[in-house]
Amino acid sequence: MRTALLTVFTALCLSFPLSAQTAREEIAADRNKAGGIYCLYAAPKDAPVPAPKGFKPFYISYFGRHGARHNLADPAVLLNWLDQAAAAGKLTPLGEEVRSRYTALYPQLKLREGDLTAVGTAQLEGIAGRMMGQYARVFQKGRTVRAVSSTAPRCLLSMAAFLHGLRSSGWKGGISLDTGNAWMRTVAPHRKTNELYVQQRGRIRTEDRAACEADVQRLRDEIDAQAFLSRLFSDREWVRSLGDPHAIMNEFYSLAVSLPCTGLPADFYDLFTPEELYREWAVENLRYYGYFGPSKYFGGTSWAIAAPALEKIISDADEDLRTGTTAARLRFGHDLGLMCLYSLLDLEGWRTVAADPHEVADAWRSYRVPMAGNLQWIFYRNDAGDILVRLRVNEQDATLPVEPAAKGIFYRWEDLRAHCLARCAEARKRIERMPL
Amino acid sequence: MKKMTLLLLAVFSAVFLRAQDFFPGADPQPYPPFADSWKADPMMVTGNYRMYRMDTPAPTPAPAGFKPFYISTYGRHGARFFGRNDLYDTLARLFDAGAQNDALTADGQEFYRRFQEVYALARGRGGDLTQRGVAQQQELARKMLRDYPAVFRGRKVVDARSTTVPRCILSMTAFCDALGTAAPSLEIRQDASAADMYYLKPNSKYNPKVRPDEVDSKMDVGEGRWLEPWQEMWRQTARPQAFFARLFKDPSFVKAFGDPVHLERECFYLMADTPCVSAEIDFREFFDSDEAARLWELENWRFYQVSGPGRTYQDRNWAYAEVLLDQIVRSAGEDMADGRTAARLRFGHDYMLVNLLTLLNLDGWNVVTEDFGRIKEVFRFSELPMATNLKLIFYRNRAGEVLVRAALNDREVRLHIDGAEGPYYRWEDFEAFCRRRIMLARQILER
Repeated sequence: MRTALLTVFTALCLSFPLSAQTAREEIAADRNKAGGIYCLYAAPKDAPVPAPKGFKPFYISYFGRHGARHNLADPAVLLNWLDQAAAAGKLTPLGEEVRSRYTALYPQLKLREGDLTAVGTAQLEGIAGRMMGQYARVFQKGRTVRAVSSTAPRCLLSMAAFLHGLRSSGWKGGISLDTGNAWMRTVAPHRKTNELYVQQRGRIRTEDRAACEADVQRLRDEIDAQAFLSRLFSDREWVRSLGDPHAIMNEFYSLAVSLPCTGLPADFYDLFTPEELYREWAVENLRYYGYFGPSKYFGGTSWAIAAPALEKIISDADEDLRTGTTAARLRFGHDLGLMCLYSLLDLEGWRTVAADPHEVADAWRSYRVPMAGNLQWIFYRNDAGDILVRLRVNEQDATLPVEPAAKGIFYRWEDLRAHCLARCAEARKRIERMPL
Repeated sequence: MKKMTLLLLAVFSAVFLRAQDFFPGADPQPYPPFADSWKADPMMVTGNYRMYRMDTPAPTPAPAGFKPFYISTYGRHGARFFGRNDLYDTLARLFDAGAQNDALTADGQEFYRRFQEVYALARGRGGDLTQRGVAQQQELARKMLRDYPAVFRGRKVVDARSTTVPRCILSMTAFCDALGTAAPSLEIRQDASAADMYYLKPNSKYNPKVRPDEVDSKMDVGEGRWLEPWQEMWRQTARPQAFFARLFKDPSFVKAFGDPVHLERECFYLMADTPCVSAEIDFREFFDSDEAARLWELENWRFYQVSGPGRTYQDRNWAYAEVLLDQIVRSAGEDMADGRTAARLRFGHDYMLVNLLTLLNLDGWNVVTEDFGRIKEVFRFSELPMATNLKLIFYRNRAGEVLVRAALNDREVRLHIDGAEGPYYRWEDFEAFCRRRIMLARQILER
């Protein structure tokens, strides 16, 4: 009876993961979330729901994003703007203060664009350590851990950190490591190395792209960039000579939200009102949702590009289940691939299509793909050889529209596998039919 | 007054410093005669693609009371696929067509069979580290630990940096994983950032001293000043007619797939790189030994010009390595003062390593000659295997005296430091020597 109640409770929680709070409320409660994809990983504190009786974990398939990294933007751009403004006498007292804070910080940002940070390393080590702690039985002697990474240095270093986390937790077995363009279509499906991506992007109609951009612009226009800039710069007209006011504001936003990822003792959140932070996030969120989420913009094909990634997860599992020599498959990629993969899998919370750009924030939230965000497939087996799989997003159980075999979260492998392959077929069909 | 001195110095340098003067004491015959080496070493033909030789001679024992405590390295990534995908793709087109048109000889069919095995592994993998490369780095880490256990005892730090090139980062990760697994108490830090590129790849755009016309892509890759003479030498030296006559019933068949000289060169590279891909597949037998020696000589010439003391870049190529040597010396000083760091590992590329060896005036990397035939006697790019590395091993006694020993590919080398016998050098002497070499390089760059 208790189990049944727990199951119902869990299922309810999982079915309505977003019902509790609006995005605005969540961000107000935790400004870290205003960073969207810069959001820091929140390690779960609770132990996972135990597996059904008689089932033991034996194999893990992992697809994860690199850990916390530096801002991708060239930090010299902001410095130049602030220096130019100072030279022209166009900074407010707050602007002067911001300039001196930023100038002091700059040497630690210079040439670090996109680099994995110590915070990021610790995130991956933590995830690996918990994996070893919770699923120690998977990592048996004689088995191999097979890891591949995107060619981006931050992903390779994330892979290194993950391996270090496994080693620190006692894994002494063999590893195989690989990277290269040949892996990119499956670990980074949002790039030109994926033929499906090329096909999909090539078939996007100009008017569909324009519709998406117009909605993004609509949200952007609702931000009063001048109000923000007038706190830093004393001359509205002069600031325009630097560039588009919103683009300048966005540069400060990127700085502010990326700094917690660096672990450096610096904070630029104070430049923003909570409303400004929320709106900046909402614009970026809409863009990610539009191009890599379940949006309606491109005939519902944005996420379909991840089919090669999912097909590879399935074919790897097929091979590994047959040979029995692989403990875990680890893949280190990027946020965009992960977003697409979630929608491709039709995961609860990743499939809501918003009717209006203003509703996107409550339908789909980029901060749920934080730095080091990850999808884990934990495979369990009983003595009879039945195989169950649970899916974990950021180490929390996730559900999808397949009849669960137990506890609302354990799926029969053959059912899950069939669902995945059907989704991949659907994805390919949709792209084939474009423009829709 | 100071200006005057500088001016005079500049004039003197320009007039009186000849290339030979940069390399005092250079051994004019650092290697056995080429013909002997060629006969004795069947893998020499694979040049800088050769596999690392793990069976290394024991070093000269350290003076009584001295124990190793710190290691500083610059090393190349491990075994990799050939750098360009189009090599594999072009040869696939050529041999597929040859097979389909029944144009292959029996040897050609065998070549094709082996090629298909390579292609199955190498297709689309140009420039990537191979699994043999991963294994090489893992083995080298375990070897370092075996050779210098005292260095890695206790809770020490290992600081590893790589260029941002994936095969180098993966080399670092493989190395560090094996090191950490065997010595779990180490705190190993790995990084690969544009912020370290100025010294890990001294002729990259990240080094502010690099002249725009000498940035890596203009010097090493297909735009360099060496390119035209090298192409001309290939045209004069290669015998594609004879080479392809062995593989194709009619050697003119290959003409439809490209310049026969280029195609022969691609086959030569395929032969050289294949040990990086597989221990079982070998193309050496398809090359006549004399022909292979001539082609090897052309590639050796290219390395000598691009990265060594060859005259093409008038010493500016290797002089750029001064930032690397400066970083090595500076960080050694800091690490010794701090006392927590066991090793500093740098993962990079072969060209930069040769730059460094030439800058250090190491025998075998420092003889200046414009006599084409002599280059192969004084400079050998086959000494730059995959995972090639320079190690500086630091020793200390109870009195706190520090000695340094250098090893290239785990074989100890001697330095031309006045009044020192070697292979153990007093740190102060070594540091002063490096400072002099750095000053010299800066003079060259300012000329």
